[in-house]
Amino acid sequence: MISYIIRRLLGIAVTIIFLSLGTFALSRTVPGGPWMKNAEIPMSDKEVAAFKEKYGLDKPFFVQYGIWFWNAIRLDFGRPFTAPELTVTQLIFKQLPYSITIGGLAACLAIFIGVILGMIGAARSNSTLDNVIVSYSVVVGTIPSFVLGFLLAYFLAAKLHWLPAGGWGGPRNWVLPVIAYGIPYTGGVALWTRQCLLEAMTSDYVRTAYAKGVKERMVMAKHVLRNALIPMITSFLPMFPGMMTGSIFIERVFGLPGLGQYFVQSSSNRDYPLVLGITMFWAILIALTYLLTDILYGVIDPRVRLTEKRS
Amino acid sequence: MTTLTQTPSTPATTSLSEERHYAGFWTAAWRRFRRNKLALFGMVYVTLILLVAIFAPYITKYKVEQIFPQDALQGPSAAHFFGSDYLGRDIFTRMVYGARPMLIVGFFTQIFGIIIGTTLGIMAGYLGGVVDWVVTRLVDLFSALPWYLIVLYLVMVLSPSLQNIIIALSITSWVGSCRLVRGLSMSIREQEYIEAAQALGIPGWRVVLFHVLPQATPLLIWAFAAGIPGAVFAEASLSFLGMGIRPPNPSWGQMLAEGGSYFSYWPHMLFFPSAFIILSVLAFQGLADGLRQAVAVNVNV
Amino acid sequence: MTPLLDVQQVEVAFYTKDGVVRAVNGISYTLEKGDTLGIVGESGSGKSVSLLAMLGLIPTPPGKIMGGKILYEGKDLLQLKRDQWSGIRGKQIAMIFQDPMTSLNPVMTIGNQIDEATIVNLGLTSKQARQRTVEVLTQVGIPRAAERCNDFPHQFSGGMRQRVMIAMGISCNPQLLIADEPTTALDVTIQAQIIELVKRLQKQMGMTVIWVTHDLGVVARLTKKIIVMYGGSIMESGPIKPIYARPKHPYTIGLLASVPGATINRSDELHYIGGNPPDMIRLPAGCAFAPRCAYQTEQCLREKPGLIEVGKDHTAACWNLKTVEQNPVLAKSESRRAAGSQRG
Repeated sequence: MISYIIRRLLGIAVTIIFLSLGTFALSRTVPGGPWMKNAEIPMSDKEVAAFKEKYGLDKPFFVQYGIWFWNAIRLDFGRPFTAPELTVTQLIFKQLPYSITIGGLAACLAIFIGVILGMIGAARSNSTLDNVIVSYSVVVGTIPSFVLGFLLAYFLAAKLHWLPAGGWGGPRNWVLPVIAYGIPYTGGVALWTRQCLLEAMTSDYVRTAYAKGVKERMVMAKHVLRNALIPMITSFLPMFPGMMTGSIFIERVFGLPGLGQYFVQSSSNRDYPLVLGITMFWAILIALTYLLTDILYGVIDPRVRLTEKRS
Repeated sequence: MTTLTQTPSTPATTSLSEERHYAGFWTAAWRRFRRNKLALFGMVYVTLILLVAIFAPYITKYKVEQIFPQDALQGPSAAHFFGSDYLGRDIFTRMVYGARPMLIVGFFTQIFGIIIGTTLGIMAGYLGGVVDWVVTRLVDLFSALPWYLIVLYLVMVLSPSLQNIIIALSITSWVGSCRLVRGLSMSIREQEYIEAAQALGIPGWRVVLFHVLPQATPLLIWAFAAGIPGAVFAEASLSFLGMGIRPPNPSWGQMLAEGGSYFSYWPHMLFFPSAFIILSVLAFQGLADGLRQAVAVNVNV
Repeated sequence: MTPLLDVQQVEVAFYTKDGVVRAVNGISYTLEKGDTLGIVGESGSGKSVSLLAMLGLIPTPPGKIMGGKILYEGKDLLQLKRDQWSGIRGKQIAMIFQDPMTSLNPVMTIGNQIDEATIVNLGLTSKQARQRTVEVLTQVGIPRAAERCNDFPHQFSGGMRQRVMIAMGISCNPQLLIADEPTTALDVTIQAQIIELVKRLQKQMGMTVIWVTHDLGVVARLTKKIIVMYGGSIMESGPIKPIYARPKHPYTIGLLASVPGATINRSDELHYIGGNPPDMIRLPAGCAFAPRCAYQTEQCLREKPGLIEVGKDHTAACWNLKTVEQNPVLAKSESRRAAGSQRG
């Protein structure tokens, strides 16, 4: 188990190093930055030279990467071009809570509603109700969250004045973004829950359980749920970091100051230190979640022995 | 085994294979496709939107960039079917022309993605060894991050434009088909008739061309169809963030972002892009689902 | 004396997207206490479905019991509601299934799985249940039974898993044990062990056994009475000796002729029955076997034959028994020709 974790961590480290090398190389080979001629505030040649020196952009590529990497492993991603009063790390941790709140709550909402719908669908499979749930899931899954966000903002905020349409205040401000972000994901969750449950319900071992005289409720609790939960947990857990990173779009709709907004802003400003920092941060978070998921998988499923790599 | 008959025993409900015998594969595929209402809707919608995009100049009497300052921010009317935006441009016209980048991005990213994915997948699965290791690491690399982070980063580096969105999305969309093809070619490589072919001295490229690729084709057709809604979604998302199609060229995502600033008082700027983005993603999705059922591909995604 | 089991005109159908699958079409038979019955037929002949109905295990929908009765000690099992099965399933009638890999819950230890049966059916405490589990596991020949209770199904080999299934089946001392192709997924040597095991247990416990298989050799070693099924109907039934020595139904004749090295046919060529297994959605109106039968007449296609007494306890469902009697070779040799014409 421990050797498995160490091996996986090494694998993650290798992936992250390659990823950082790739993104770093791209950022350096393609010219561009706040000093460009078409930047909002054009700089003189002298200012550009001073700027480049300050950020070490005048050194050879591998020296630059080496310096960046050495600092990065100490969680120092430098200072953003556009907001030099903070370090990248400070900025990430300052804006992170917004993304975590919205993404995390939306993931919870999606899983909560989706699992309930999926369970109803599985329990009444092939009924009209089930068909409605499946159709709902397919349709809802194709709605981009930012489209739904605007529609909700229009109807619930602008027309009915039930809720604020944006900004960051109390939990009332969270309601619309969380719903708009969470609802499209309920479809996928519902379909997956339904499929996992149906697969377990029609499995041979459930038939065996019935054949040996176990009552329906016990069969559901001890045989169906226990087996269906394994694939459910392993696919729902990675939703959390995924939705925290993906809140970019919904943050834009509701004008939330999350990390995603900064990523987009810094992308359009070509603020490389910030973009690199955020990218590395998300990559590590996502990779660690997958590792956690796999470990959990090994714990709850006796068939999995954590020695070989899952493909 | 002391079986009863020479014919392979089939369970009672395998009418799918029966249909292949009796009705021909494509007739049966069409019958299965027809049963799926969403797929039918998708087919009709996609055909219509394709025609609209191709014949855009004949469908609308205005030019994309034509401005009617006196008509700014008007609701739908006989002159402007979908109303006009804050500059007084005709929204219907911009929607019609906005279908073009959506379809172009959708088709081309999938074509490029599948070409890259199939090539790498066959190389990895068929050659194995170091090639496989490298390709698997690449796949890992691209799966480590959500697509929008990679795409946003690439678009940032390349600067936003139609061509660069296609490049960026192609670079991220090969992973799925690569996985599929790698798995398939690995399983095909193990099969006896391939061993037989190799024993007969048939060169590897012939085996790939005549044995591996034909088997992968239905899978790839499906992967192509299944990838398009994602690409449509992606184009709308990028343009929405201002990292996609740049003004003055219209795109639905970009129009949605513009509508977002005015929606409290002029909701029509928001509704038409919203409705057609949703309908398009749904239609392409439905079409892909219908195709998968029709050709009976079993894919675990 | 009423028989232990009296199956009367059972009909089961499945409503699928492609049409109605007529899986079982009016089968009847009786079984005395302590007997062993073999049910033989190809996959899809309805043999397993008819037995799943006996335990109310037909998934509904898509399955539906269309009619008939299954009287167990005089009680009609087909009339039981969902909550009326306790005391029957597992306790009176136990079933072991074809694939021991998928028929055991992968995330529960086998000890817990067997305990569950005795706790539910006999009201044992978990301690007593575990004691009983170790006892039955030893009885079916699993070494170090007490230790292995804590193992999961994937830690057992195929044969061992089937022994676990059998142990689970007998844990509550059932009267009737239904074995649904329990040896099909196993190696031939393991098959023999399992057959001997069931034979021994049956003798020790005085169980009645129904053994479903498509393997005529297995039936010959186990049972005294067999039923041959095809297309959801019984083609021939009776004591095993006369059926093997002088089969009456064209299907049975063809079936036996296609067994390599079977006692009945030692000619050089191995025979097979031409044509395809029946399409259970579009079954012929008459005899299910008619399209592949060398003796086929118009009546066969039109009208379904009933079972006709052809010997002591021996019945066959065929319109042309006389012709078959006079010219039994046709069933073997002509099947080839029938095959040719069918394929074309």
